[in-house]
Amino acid sequence: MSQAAPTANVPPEQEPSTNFTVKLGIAQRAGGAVVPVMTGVLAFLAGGIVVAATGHNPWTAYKGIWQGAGFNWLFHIPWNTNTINLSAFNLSQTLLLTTTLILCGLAVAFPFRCGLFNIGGQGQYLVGLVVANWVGVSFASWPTLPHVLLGIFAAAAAGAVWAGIAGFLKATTGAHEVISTIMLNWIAIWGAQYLFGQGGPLQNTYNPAAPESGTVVQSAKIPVFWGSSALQGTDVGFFVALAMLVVFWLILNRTTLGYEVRATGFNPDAAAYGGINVRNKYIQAMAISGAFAGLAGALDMLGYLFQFGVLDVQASQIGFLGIAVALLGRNTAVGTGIAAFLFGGLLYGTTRGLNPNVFDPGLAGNLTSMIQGLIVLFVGADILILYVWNSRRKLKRRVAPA
Amino acid sequence: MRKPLLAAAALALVAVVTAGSVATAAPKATFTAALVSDIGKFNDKGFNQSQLAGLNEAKAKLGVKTISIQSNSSSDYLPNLTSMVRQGANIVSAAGYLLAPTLSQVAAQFPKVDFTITDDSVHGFDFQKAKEIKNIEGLVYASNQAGCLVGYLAGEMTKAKGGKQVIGAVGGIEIPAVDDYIVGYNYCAKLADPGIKVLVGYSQDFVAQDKCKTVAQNQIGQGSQVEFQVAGGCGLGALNAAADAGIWGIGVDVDQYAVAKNVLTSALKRVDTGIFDAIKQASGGHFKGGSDLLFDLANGGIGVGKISPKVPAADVAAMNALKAKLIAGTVKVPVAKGSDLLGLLPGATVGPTH
Repeated sequence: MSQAAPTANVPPEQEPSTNFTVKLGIAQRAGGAVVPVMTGVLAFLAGGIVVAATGHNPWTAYKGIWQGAGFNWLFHIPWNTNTINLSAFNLSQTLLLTTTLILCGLAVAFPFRCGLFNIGGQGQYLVGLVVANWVGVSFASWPTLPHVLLGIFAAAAAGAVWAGIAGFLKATTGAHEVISTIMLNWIAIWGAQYLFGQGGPLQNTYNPAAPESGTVVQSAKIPVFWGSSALQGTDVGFFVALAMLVVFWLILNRTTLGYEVRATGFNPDAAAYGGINVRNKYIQAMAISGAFAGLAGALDMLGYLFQFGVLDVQASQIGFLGIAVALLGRNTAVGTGIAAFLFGGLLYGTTRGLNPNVFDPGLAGNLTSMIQGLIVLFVGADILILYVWNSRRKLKRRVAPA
Repeated sequence: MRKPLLAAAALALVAVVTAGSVATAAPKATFTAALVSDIGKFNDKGFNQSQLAGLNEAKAKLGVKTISIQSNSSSDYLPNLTSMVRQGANIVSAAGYLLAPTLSQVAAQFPKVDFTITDDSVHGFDFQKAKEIKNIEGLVYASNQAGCLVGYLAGEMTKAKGGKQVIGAVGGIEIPAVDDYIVGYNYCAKLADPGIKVLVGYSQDFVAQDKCKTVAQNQIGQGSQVEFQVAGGCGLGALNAAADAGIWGIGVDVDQYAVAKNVLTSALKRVDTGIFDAIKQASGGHFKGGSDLLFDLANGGIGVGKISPKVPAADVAAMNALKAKLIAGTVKVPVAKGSDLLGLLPGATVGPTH
């Protein structure tokens, strides 16, 4: 092996490299903003290169996305909150997506802290949508507040049960949660298609030709605080999502359950040795995660969707985007909130809000998927880089005394 | 880096705001036409793509400004429709019945803007609740006629070939817009070959090709000699299944002769013509909101695509003779149950799909 020659050079070289590793390690462990920001910037740069390669101007494209997301509204003071103003409308729509993404992000972040990878956000979200739709279509005589609350709690509970199945399987049989949540996704997707499809139990009663759910009645609709309720304004569900960020932080950092969840996440064997019922933690962490995703479904259904069809079930992807949100947000409350806002803007700015004459939305929509993929890749790669770096250092240490 | 960005954003915002106030003052200066896709998206090699072609044709021939936007999910419909209006569109076209409930909601909010909806009637179900449909025009296609002509050709070819007299149709979802094609296909296949059996299956999907492929393979297994796809992008899978099995496939909506091998012909629904005509009307100030525009064989909104050169000339001639009878009204093709065509095509009756 060729280690003989470099051995002589090790002492001077080892110092800076160790420092770098330690710094990077601290930045990573502390939930530091450095790595995620670098990840984001890199992903956007790579995206820009692709835009340039397709013969467009990346600067114009990103500016278009920025405006499409309504972010320019933030810099236009005094603020004109009337959503007839295009940028205000765009931002109100970005906030709608942010609401969903915060909760789908938390649904991935929470079990991550317990050492579990929940890929079932989409399925849990769909289960929440279906249950919220059922509650929203039924109980037409109820007053608004209990009706909305019932819809929200029922959907969150359904999501918790759905994810809890994966946690239960993990705890009892050791079935890997990645596999079981993926399979539960498909059960939810096909189940929802059956329920809303032609002749399905939750299909609308007024148009048998349309494979769509019934429409949520007025009393179950969450009030809108920004924009027109007839034109998909932003509903107060946004504040519920913000509150959930706080709840997430409180559970993790200020409760026994949170302590045990984190301990299990660091090292399940050590946690078990310390007297923590690791199996219970798996079930609880998954159930809490599912409740977040189910809540996302409820807020969407009662906030602005009101109706969902078989084709919509097939096209829905937002639960999966929660994975990228949680990874970029480093599985922390603040990080998830910021990442959800970024992805909400990106998603809205590249698809619905973008001026089609600036950049073809068909291409721009793919740009979102690409940036999302790059972020997941870089986040994974950064752990890989650390791993390689650390093992190199260990190798040198072992070689150095000889 | 940061300051120019902010400056640019601020400048752009001023531009947006001023543009917004100008737009209401001088809309006549440039007429803007907009198109919103359904979740099939603009690269579906069919329904949506064809409408985009119609929009581009309007841009080239009528000199109007055009904008188009793609919907990736149903929650995109409302923001997409409203953002087209807010970007100054004078006419906004919704690409298909999927957008109907949202369109009725949006159109009521913007009474000064013209809206059209492809493949749906303003007298249809979705607009019953909308009090104000004065600014929506339905673009309705007599697709039963297109289904009839390709069905007749399929019947002729099967009869000539002999063997099991079975043909198939793969629909997306069992809805009138799909079934109008299939009812016509069934009716006229039996005109050509009275003993023929027509198998009908639905993939429950308009996008995923594998699902349509499975349905088609099932029918081929039962002896089907011709596969008619009525499922948009999903149906390309049915055409591929037909090509793999060495039997005929029939395309839908646009000319799909080149999409797969062994394509007999295609049932054309000229949704591009519909978009173009509606924009032409509206830009000339002749928009007829609250009513439907009917497209059929007579006005060229419905037709048959390229016919495979392997088809004997006599069969093509027989089909053209039938076409003349349809245009003259001496042969009437039934329509699907609940079809918008019931009130629009004179003397239309409901017929079975198989």
